[in-house]
Amino acid sequence: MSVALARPLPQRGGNAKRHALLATSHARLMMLLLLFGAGVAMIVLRLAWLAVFTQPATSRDAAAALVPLRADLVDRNGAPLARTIDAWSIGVHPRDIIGDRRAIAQQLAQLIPTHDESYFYAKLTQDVPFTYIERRALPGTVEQVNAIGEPAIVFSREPERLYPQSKLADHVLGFVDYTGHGALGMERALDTKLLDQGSRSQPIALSIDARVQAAMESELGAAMATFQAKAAVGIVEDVHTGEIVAMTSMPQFNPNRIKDATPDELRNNATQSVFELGSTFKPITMAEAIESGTVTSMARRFDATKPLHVGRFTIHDLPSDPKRWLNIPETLIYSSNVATARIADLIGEQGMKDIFHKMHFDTRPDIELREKGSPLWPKFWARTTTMTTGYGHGIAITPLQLANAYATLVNGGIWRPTTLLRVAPGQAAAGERVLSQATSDRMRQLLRLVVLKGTGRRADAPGYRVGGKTGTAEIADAGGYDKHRNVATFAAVFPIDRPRYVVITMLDAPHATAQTYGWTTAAWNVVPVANRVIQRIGPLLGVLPDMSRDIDESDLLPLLWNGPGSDDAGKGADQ
Amino acid sequence: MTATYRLKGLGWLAIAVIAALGFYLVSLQVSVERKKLDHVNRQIAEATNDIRSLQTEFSTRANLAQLERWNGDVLALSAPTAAQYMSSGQQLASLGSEAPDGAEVQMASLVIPTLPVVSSPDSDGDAADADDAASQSPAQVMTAAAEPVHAKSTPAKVEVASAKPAADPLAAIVKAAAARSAKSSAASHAKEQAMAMLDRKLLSDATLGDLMSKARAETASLR
Repeated sequence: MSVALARPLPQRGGNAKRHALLATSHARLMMLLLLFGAGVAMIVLRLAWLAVFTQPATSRDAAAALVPLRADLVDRNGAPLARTIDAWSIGVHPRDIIGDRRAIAQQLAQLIPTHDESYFYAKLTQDVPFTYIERRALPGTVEQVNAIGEPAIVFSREPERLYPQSKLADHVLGFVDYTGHGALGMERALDTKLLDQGSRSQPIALSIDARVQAAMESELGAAMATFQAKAAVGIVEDVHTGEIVAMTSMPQFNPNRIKDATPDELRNNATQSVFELGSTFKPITMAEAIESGTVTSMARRFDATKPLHVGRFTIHDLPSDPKRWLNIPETLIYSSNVATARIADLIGEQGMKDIFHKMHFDTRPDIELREKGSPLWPKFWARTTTMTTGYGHGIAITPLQLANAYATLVNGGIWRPTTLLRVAPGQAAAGERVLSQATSDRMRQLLRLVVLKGTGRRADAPGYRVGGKTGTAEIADAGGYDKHRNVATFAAVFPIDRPRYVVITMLDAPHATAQTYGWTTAAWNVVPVANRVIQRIGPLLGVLPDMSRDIDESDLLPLLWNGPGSDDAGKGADQ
Repeated sequence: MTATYRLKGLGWLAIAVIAALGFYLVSLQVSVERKKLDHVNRQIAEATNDIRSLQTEFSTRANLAQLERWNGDVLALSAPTAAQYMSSGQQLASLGSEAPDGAEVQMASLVIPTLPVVSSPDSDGDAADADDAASQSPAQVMTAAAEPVHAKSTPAKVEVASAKPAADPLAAIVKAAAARSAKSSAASHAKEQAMAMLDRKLLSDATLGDLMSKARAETASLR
């Protein structure tokens, strides 16, 4: 431009003309000057603006890099149970492949042995712009695939949900689907909270204790394999806060490889499946009998000499049970259906309904999980219904509700909702009073007696003062009960002199083995599991075994009649 | 006049330039420091990320199911039984009551049968206190001294007594008795005390002062 301006103009003569020309060029120069000035001023202003108002981007980025896309889930002691990591993924742009597809597929099959050559060849020949070869690949594999040298194969880092403990607490944690939202368990229940921008840097602490969970899973898994059971449930609950310290449902799935999971594995038997839990209901009936004043003396006897006929129904005891008049402790020790039915009959329909309502057996279990089953509440209450529900038939609830009912029985009689989130000390829910302290104390004595003298003898872990009740219920099939398939349950509480934890172990349809002498009842399969679990988890939970302590049974022991042959009456004889 | 006026102007200009340069240098310095800080912050973030991923890897490799498998294959450890727990120190002490070579171990409480429990404010129990206590209750010392064989042959029982924090006069008496009957135990007591005070010698005020002054000198030299 300046060249154009400075170009020597041809002299045409005339001073006036020359003056005018000079004036024009001056004006042009001035305008140019102003333009340059404005340009510089704009740049200076912009620089000043940037200098004043822009904050350094680096520090913000550094802090942002630390915040995971989804909050971690940790156990009650802070051990990670679910984390979001940057995983390598290997993808390919099939249309842009330069090399020989067959050769690449062969190399890939060698490096990634989970699939064969034809699988990779199909991937490489697909007519799509992009497809994944392997997601969540190991860095070593990525390096080796990179060494193939095919430019169409690309690598990227993607956030992935990883469960470091693999199958541990699978039903509690659940998993995250491909859209990045929780699809099961706590991942689903807490989805919005886990994704919340403000709070996701802080991990969420569950009430689960990974070590306790591992002990429960290993012992229960071993028992399930031994007895070839169809399913198994294990629950450990803190009786004073309602926190679930361990909850397992078997068969299990691996949340890291969710596409292999079967519907059976995805079903949470602890909260979704409902079972008729059999004799484990008897202590609940007894508690109501004591609480309502139906039975005021532990020495009161009930006729169990012969089967009870009510209308069309007949209520039996096992042939091995003593056929005599049984008092309250004996009824529980020998687990007599007939005596319990008589007590339930005395309590009456309203009383039984009351205690079941107070224990929340009429609603889904109170827990954060969304996978919850509805209990089967009897549609019509006949006199027989009152009697059969007294010993746990005709009403079906989830194992979690049973755990909470036992917590209520022994913790002083206060029902609290169960929770899978850690409860800070002293922050437990106020709960609802169901039983009086005196009734609760009596229930502790009775439950301990079942373990000392009755069907729960194999659960008596030395020093841990275990109390509990077995239950073996036949599985209701179309048209009646199946004599050969049953649900064996053991509800344990320890240490019974100052209850801290409820332990529920349950096996669905266990088979008899040589070790159990043909028995499939709870006393032979789940009770020893509870014993081993308690011995393993007790010290972890701060319950130290003490041989010098136990609950005072001096007022109940004289009520037990130790006649000839009565010593082995309780062995395996539970329903 | 005009010259000085012009010079004056030049001087002002120079001052302004120097001042502006000074300010600029300060701001430059600040921005350099800030950049360093950012760099460090980024390094911290990277390190934290690395720690997180390594922790994840570690917990994945050492998950509880894996540990259980190893335990089943190799270690075969099982949960401790009730008998393996001690609820009190007394229970712990009673564990060693059976000596390996069949010799009977006697507790110091056996040597001094009865003593009224006196709560003494001074729990140090040094030699002077022990002597005082000994002179106050000569009868017990006599009892103790009457069995010098025990004190000599089993110095362990003296340890048992001195380990009891509650019965101070008692411990002191036993110590005094032991000092008279067996010099060796007194020497071991002195040694024990020396061991107990070891940290004081290592981190005395003078040492701490030295460290502080050195640290100050170092920070000064870095500036």
